[in-house]
Amino acid sequence: MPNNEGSTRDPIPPGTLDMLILQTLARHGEMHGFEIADSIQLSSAEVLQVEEGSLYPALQRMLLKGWLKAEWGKTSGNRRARYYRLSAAGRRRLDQEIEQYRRVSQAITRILQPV
Amino acid sequence: MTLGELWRRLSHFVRRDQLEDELDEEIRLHLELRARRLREEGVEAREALYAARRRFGNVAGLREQSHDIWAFRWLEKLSADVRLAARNSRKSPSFTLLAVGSLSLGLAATTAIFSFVNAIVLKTLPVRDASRLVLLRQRNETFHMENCCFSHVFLREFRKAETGFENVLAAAAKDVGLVDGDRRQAVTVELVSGNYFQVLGVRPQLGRLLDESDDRVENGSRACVISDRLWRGLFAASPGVVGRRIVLEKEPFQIVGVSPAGFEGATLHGRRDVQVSTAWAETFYGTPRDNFSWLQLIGRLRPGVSMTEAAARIDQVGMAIERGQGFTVSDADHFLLRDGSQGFGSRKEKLGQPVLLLLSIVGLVLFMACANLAALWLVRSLERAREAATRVALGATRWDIIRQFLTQSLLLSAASGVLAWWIAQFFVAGLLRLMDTQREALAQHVRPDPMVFGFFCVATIGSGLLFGLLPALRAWRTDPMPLVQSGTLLAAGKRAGAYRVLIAVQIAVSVALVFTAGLLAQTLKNLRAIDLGFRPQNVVQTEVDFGRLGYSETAAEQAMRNVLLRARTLPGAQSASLSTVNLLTGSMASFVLSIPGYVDPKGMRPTSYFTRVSAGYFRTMGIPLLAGSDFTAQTRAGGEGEVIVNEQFARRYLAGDALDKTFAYGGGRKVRVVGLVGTTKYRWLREEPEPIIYLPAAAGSFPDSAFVQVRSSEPPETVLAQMRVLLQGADARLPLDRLTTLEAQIDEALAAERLLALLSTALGSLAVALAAIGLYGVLSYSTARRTREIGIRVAIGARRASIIRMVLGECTWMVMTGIAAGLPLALFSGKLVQSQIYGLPPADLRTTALAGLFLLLVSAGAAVLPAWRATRVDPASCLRYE
Repeated sequence: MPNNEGSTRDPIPPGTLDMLILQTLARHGEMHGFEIADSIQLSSAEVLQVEEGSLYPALQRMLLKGWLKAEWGKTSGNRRARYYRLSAAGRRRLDQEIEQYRRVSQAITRILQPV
Repeated sequence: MTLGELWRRLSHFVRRDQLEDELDEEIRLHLELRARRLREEGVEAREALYAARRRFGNVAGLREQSHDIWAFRWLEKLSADVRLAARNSRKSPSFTLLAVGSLSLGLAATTAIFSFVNAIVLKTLPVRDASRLVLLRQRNETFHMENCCFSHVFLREFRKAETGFENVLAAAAKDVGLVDGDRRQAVTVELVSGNYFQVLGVRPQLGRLLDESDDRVENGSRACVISDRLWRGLFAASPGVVGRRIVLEKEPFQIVGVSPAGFEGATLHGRRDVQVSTAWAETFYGTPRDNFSWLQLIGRLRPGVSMTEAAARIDQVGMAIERGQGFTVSDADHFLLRDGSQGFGSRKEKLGQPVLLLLSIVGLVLFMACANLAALWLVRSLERAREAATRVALGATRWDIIRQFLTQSLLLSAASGVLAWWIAQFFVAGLLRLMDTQREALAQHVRPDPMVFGFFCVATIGSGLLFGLLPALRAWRTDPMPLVQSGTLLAAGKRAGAYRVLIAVQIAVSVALVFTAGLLAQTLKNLRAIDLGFRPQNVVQTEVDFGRLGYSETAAEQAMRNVLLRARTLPGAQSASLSTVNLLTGSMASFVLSIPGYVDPKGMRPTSYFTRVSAGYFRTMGIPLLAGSDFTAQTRAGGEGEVIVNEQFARRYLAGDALDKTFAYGGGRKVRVVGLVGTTKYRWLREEPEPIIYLPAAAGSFPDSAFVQVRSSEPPETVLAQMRVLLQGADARLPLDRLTTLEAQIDEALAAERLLALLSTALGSLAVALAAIGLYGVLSYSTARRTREIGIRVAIGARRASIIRMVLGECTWMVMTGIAAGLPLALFSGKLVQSQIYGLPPADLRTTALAGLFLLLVSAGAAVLPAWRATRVDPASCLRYE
């Protein structure tokens, strides 16, 4: 069994999963769960690893917050799947999260910069 | 939580099964797609599936996690609890039926009576800050009463003085006919001072209200303000009503405005349709406003001034004004203040106490119903202790158990509440009917309002908590160890004596309630047995007022004489007469006298009630003529007038010998006593014998408005019908609603007492029934629980008598403790109702003994069946069962 999980990949930093999902949906429009997980991994050049199951509670939570909208549709393989897309509130939320993330990471970068 | 979120959560909650399926489908799809991807990457088919699962993580855990995101934990638990409670209630229909039956009756009665407390005690005038309003009265030492009314001169002086009032308004009411074109309507006009609306803080809903400029006699305008009710009723809520002319007492008045809906004069328990200013007193009373004392006063206390402070100040001010006007005022004639938050004619003074008393009685009965259910439930929960212990042993928290009990009790009380709210309206209607004369005054105020609904909710939830709490606490103490150790819960039964205490408490409360009901019922009996001094049986009476119909003095006299003449010739009529004062209604007329040779022991001026009567009055009323003679149709008023006095008058003022004595009354008119009659009650049933002077209704002094009585051998219904025809024939405009039998009128005077006696008896019986049901239920359960023990006893030779003794022994403890505790409680409640009882001491021994004995008998009755059943236990079958 080829082990392509683990050592070469890093877990997603805590608290950023929502932002990643929102950003992914913002870029690609409608996607179902598997596509989102796949997309995050591909876009991060396979550096970030999503524990795929944890995606679903996160999606549920964002549905509850009203950031996402969901609709049932058909996949290319003609399977029933739930497609998620951003709501207006989700778009605002994404901006906030990115803004906050930038502030935090700039701060961290400044700390790490050699004087 | 935002509103949108709450909405999404709720809709999710409703469709939660479907949504969980959808999540499962999503996860399945994900796993399959991942597995396919892995296969494409060359992983072996079976292995790919496992790998997909590994990458996905704990499916069950994640499902739980996403469920928690959406869930209303408490809502789910609640719905589970409610389902369990409903199932439990269905499983014990007799308990459920008893609970819903007794609680809904109790809650309905409590709510209904609270509606009356609200209407009579709690509500205030719909005006600005009604709690700062006070009524001004003056004690009248001479007549032992309170003066309500003052002259306009007094008002003007009073307003000028420093009194602690922000302002003082004055008003008087009169029933008159309103004419609008060819339409006539009977209305009540309120003559008000110019500052009336401003002091009350009432704003017009249309046009303007009256002000000081309207209240000037010289050049005031004949303006009037009408109520919202009259505006809608007579003028179809037309906005064009402002400026319209109507006629009151033959004079035109212009409508200048409409007062706001809900405001019907400065009287909560009455109704005023039209306000005009006091300047027009002459139109309504035939004499200028300064000439007589006719105005009731309401003051608004200045902020920070208390009623006692104001009372002290107004006493000096009032006395000074009266002395300044040349009145002789005794120092005892204090000015006083009364609560004015309900305006004039409040029923609080008369009915407040009785309804509060009823509320406490009905509250006790409701409390008993709860205690009853708690007791029955406690006994039953012994059977369910095994279930509770098992659940505790399996990991249910104690809170879970308590919640389950409380859910069931609240479910039952909520169901009862729904039923009670519906039943309460019938109780309210019934109570209104019992209050007859007060009915019109109260009907619009007893309708449910937020106050009543709030009280109802608190009572409903409170009673649910009350009867669920003890069983819940009992369950909370459930110790699973005995169950675990021995598999039985016999030990649990020993600690559950609480139900016995509850039954004893119920019996104690029942004793007190039965005792109170006994006192009140006997009070009514005693009041009915009071010697009135006249015989009201077979007398029909009505009020006839020709003056108001616009008759001239001579025309009114002629019409009145005709009515009497025709009444005397009615088939069956024995006699007919008239009088100017209606007995036993609280109304009165009195004179100050000067009697030669009489010196009052306390230095007071002698006074007497009087009434003007026609010949035949004493025969009609059944008042014995003790000496001298009755007036005759020829009696004249002029010259030295003739009067008849009662025995009490003769005894107090004329040394017992009355005939041919002379004295003077009022302004010094001299009269001679021609007859002596028996003493009758005059104003009230409960009064001491009072002196009364009877003046003749003779030519020149014939009243244009009087009460006409007919004594007849025909049944009252027939006489009432005859009189209706007679009055219609005399003048079709005469109102017929004042026609009544004298007995009915006396009954009306007893309305409050009758209400108390009737309701306290009904509620007392309900309480006793509840106690009996409780005792019976508890004994039945506890005997059933001891079936095995009884079986063994019988098997080893116990006799029937000893089994019965055993069962009754348990019952005797509860009953005896209850009665023993009930007797002091009864005496205490006797003290509480002291002011309401008449003719017997509040600690009446006979009533006490009867109440105790009654409860003893009822308890014995309730215990007989369970005891008898215990003797029927078949030892063989019960041992076999074991």
